[in-house]
Amino acid sequence: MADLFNIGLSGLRAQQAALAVTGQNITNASTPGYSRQRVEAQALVTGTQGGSFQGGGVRIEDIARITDEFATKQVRTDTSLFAELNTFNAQVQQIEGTLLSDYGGLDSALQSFFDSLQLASSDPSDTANRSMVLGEAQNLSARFQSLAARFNEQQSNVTSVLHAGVARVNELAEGIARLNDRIAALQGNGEGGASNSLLDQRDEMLRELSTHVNVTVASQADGQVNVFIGKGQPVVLGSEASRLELTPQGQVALWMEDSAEPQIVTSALTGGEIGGVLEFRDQVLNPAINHLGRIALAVSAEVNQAHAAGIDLNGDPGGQVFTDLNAPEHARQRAVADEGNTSRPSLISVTVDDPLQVPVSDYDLVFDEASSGSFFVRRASDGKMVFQGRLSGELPQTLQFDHISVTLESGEYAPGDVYHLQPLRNAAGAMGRVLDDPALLALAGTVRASEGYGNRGDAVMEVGEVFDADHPIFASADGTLPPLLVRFTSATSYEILDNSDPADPRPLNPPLANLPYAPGQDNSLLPGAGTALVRFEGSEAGRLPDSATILPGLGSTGNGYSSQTFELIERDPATGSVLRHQAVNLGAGSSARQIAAEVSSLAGVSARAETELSLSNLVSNGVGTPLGIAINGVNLGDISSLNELADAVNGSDALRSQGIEAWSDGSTLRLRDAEGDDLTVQLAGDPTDSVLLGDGSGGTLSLNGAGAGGDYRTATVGGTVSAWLEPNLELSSASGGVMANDPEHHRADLGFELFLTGRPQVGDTFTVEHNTSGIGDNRNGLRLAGLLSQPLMGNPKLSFTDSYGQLVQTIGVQSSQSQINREAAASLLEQSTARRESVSGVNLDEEAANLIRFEQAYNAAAQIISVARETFNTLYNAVQ
Amino acid sequence: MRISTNQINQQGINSLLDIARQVADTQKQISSGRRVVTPGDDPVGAARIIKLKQEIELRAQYTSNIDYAESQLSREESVLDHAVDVMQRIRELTLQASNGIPSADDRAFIAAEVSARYDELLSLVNARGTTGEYMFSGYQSAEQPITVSGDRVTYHGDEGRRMVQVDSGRQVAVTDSARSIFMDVEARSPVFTVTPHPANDTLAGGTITRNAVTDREAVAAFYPDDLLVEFRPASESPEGVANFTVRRASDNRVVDGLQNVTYAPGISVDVAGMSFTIGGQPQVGDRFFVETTSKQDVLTTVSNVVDALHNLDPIAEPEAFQEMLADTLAGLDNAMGRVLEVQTDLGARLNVLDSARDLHADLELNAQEMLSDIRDLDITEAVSRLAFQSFVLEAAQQSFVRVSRLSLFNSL
Repeated sequence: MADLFNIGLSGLRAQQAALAVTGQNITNASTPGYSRQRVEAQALVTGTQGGSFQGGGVRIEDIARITDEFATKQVRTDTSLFAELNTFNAQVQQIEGTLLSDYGGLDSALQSFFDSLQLASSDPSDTANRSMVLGEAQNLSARFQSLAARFNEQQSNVTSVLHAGVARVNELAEGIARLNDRIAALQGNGEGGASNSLLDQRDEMLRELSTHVNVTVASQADGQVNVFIGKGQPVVLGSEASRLELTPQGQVALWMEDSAEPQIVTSALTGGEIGGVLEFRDQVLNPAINHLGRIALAVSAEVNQAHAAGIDLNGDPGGQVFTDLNAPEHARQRAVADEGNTSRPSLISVTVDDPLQVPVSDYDLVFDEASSGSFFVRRASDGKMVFQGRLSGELPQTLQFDHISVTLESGEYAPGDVYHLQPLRNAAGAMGRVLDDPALLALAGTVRASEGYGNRGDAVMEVGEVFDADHPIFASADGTLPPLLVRFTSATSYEILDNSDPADPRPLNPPLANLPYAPGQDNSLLPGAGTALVRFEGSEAGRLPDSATILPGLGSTGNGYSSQTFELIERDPATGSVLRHQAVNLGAGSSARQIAAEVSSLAGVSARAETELSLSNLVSNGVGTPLGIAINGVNLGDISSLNELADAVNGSDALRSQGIEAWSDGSTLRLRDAEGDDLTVQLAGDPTDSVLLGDGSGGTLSLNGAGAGGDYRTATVGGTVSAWLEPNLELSSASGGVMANDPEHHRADLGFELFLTGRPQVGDTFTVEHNTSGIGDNRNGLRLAGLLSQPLMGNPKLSFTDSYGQLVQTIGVQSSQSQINREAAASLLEQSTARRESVSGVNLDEEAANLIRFEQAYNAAAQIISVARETFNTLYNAVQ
Repeated sequence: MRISTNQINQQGINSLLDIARQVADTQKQISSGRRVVTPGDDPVGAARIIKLKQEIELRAQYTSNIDYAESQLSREESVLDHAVDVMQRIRELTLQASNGIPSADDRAFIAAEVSARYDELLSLVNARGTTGEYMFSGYQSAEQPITVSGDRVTYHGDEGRRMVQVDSGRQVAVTDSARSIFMDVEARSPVFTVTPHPANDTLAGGTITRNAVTDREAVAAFYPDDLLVEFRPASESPEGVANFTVRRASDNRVVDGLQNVTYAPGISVDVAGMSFTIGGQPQVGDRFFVETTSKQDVLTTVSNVVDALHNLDPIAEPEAFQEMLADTLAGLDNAMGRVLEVQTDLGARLNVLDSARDLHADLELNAQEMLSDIRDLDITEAVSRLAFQSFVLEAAQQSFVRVSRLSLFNSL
């Protein structure tokens, strides 16, 4: 009987407990992280009766928390993924907002600026149009700045997200560690059921932790969990929590309980909001700022360079339109010392040498930990090592790579130091307009040309681009180009002279003479950029022999040139290493013409030869044998004056066909072979007759008559060679030759281009001069305006606008892709949440049913007691 | 599968939020009229939009450049039309003078009208554009292109031509220089010009004036060589007085008999058929150019005929008179021919402008359409989409209310 009472009573207790748990479930139905509970009951056995066990009621074993470890873990992983993509997407959407708008995008500002240049070019002397260009330049700078400001704002937004995230992670880690402690204590006491709500709390904390950063959770036997971030860096170990910290440079550092120094874990962090903003910062924001900076650098450099090639309303060369973004105040802000560096201070400047080609990337300058003084540079975009070097011991030291120059200006550099180089980061924000006077806008070209009034040919000259406004020729005398004269010495050759005195044009230094012209084609008259001129003019003693030879008749004595070797070396402009080494050998007595032909056979070399000889101090006494002169085997007969000799030379068909011409002003006769063949002068006559020869290289020789008998005093002179070399070539002649051993390489280009088409005739001239008062000229304006649609930047080459379009597209792709990924992660999270809910969530209908069920069971148990009492009463009454 | 109550609610709420977001997106598109608002809406489209916008702007800019060029060229055309009329009239007058032997009165009358026409021609050559710039002085648009002092016609401009960008890579000249139109006109036979060296001491005032060609053949034979007159130190002169030497430009050779010639103000020199007069007080070192040319500017041609009408007596010097008229007729014909060439070229340039304008109009329209295709919203589609989405939203709301009302507790 007592048994039945006990059984009933245990039933009452059990159902009461079940009702209480159901109540708990119902009231916590919407508590975050709550896992439904269930009473685990067990039937009791008291003894055996008749060979079988007899039940003794029910006992509550446990109040179980219904969870699925795997489902919980899945929820954490998916939460972390979703939070990352969601944050990333939200951040991208914030920066893409104004990129396409007419009022915030760069494209419309670029277009307006270059349109205003077109307009100003239509009427270049109009000040209103010029002012508009300045206004648009200001707008363009402001647009760069506002985009940069927007990006930078986003940068601080990222930092504040990181701050908040790191703070919350620390709180949660501490909370988890505390819970670990309590759970272990309760479980140690065997009060497992008591820890249910603590476990729920901890799971919820872990879930929240995973919204901030991706975590790995490892359960321990005592009920504690260890939590790791990144690549196994512990955040919680049992009841100990580590601390995260945000460094001033925006890196995430981890302080472990027992470590003295923090560990930088930024690159290892993935997932969650922190992973999302870090990913955004590295993959979207920094590249976008760099990309914009590169466009700013390119626009400012290209516009400034083109502007400098023109002249303003005052006739002065154009100054800067936009800020020089490589100026020291900007260049010195581009290297950031790593927080871990041991030596400070240091000053490093970073300049972008070619903004059109520079890669969009940051760099790390790393001083080798192991070897003192050696360092390397790593490109951040692909991790490639782009430069390796050693400290030279002398500062400043400049390193060049990837179209960037890095100058270590001062300071100390210790092994292990790292500098983060950001060549493009600050450029867009520093963009500004410098030009402030509309009159100083250089819309006109610097150079103009006109043809001589007496020209007989139909050639038309056109001035090309000024490619080097800093060429010394533009800075001579009064700060402008001196007037130049292009004069045709034949239909196929010309010379360029300094025409400062139109009555007496002088050769330039180095001389540009005897240049070839191809009639009927488009000829570029001036040597190209980087062309060097080497002149072989013979030894210091001149090219004339020391003494004249007596020949019995007409003939030549040879030019006396010894055999020689010409060597050509081509060097790599960046490294200076030899790319090509070629040599040509010329036998003794070769004429300048032959030398030029041989040297010209070397690729990249164009050589021309000519031979000049002057005759003066002609003395014809008129006694004895009359003075007679023969040139190159052509006897010109008796000569009494230089004028007569010149007329005789020019009248000789034989000499004309050899290309020999003479000019005489009465006191000096200039004899010239345009092809560089040897010139032989022979003199017959009375010993008192004489003439003085000069070779122009310093040599002179007096010829006098050899008396009666028909003998000739003979002298032969060789020509000179001028060789034009393409950039990076060096030409020298080995020792022993008549030609100079190590000739000077003169800069041959004039910093601008000249084109001539048509068929000029001998004597035709063209004057080239500074474009003084050329205020109606718009050539430079058109060149500036044309920059907009020119493909200039990168590889393949893109225009400024297209480069901006590329930036917009990149961000757009990142935005739309992250949107798609976000959706996918959201549905993953939804699924895993549903799975967890289906295991651990409370279903109110179920609980309602349970309520009814347990209430009924309770009532039934009460009935058991009632039956037991009645049974007892029956027995009691029977006994009475 | 077990479903928790929370989950039922959450799912309902999620789908409500999702549909509400779609409705809001569609509404945003409709209110902006654009399909692509941010680059993320269509990344490739966004880059294309930037390109197309640039193309449209650029074409609009080219079109406005073309309008400007057209107005410039039309103005030049009408100035040149007038110039041809004036030259034509001068030609008629010259013919009139060569017809028989005109009386002194006739000549004076003709000379008077030619003079008037000369002034008219000069003002046309020095015409200004709409903004007050000189039309024919090349780059130096603030310089009056041609001045006449005495009988020397000087061009102060250059041969620069202002270009206008009418298409990428195509520029059209909108100016021509007076030199190319009016100065470089082929003469009947070579003539010469005289110029003081720019470095001469102008304060002291040595002058040189051109007289007539005295020997046509001699000039033609000497052409294209030039002469240089240089004042030498008195010490070189046998008499120790001011003197000058004349040299040939090609080889600097002294012209026979013209070394250290004693200078007297107003001295007339005749070399190779060219006669010129030096006056004033030239200083030692002063130089003068005497240059032959096959070209003569139209103003000199006209002023020559005025001089001839005034100074030459057709009865006393019939040959010189007729030669002069023949020179003038040839010069005028060549000048008109030159202007005609320029006019033809102007016409060609105007044609280029027209076709470029048409091209830009076509391509701009084309780009507009493409831009609209990419960027703009199909309103009909969007509105019906909105209607459908609103309908779905309503349905979701109603079903949520219904489902959440179901509970066993209601029956307890």
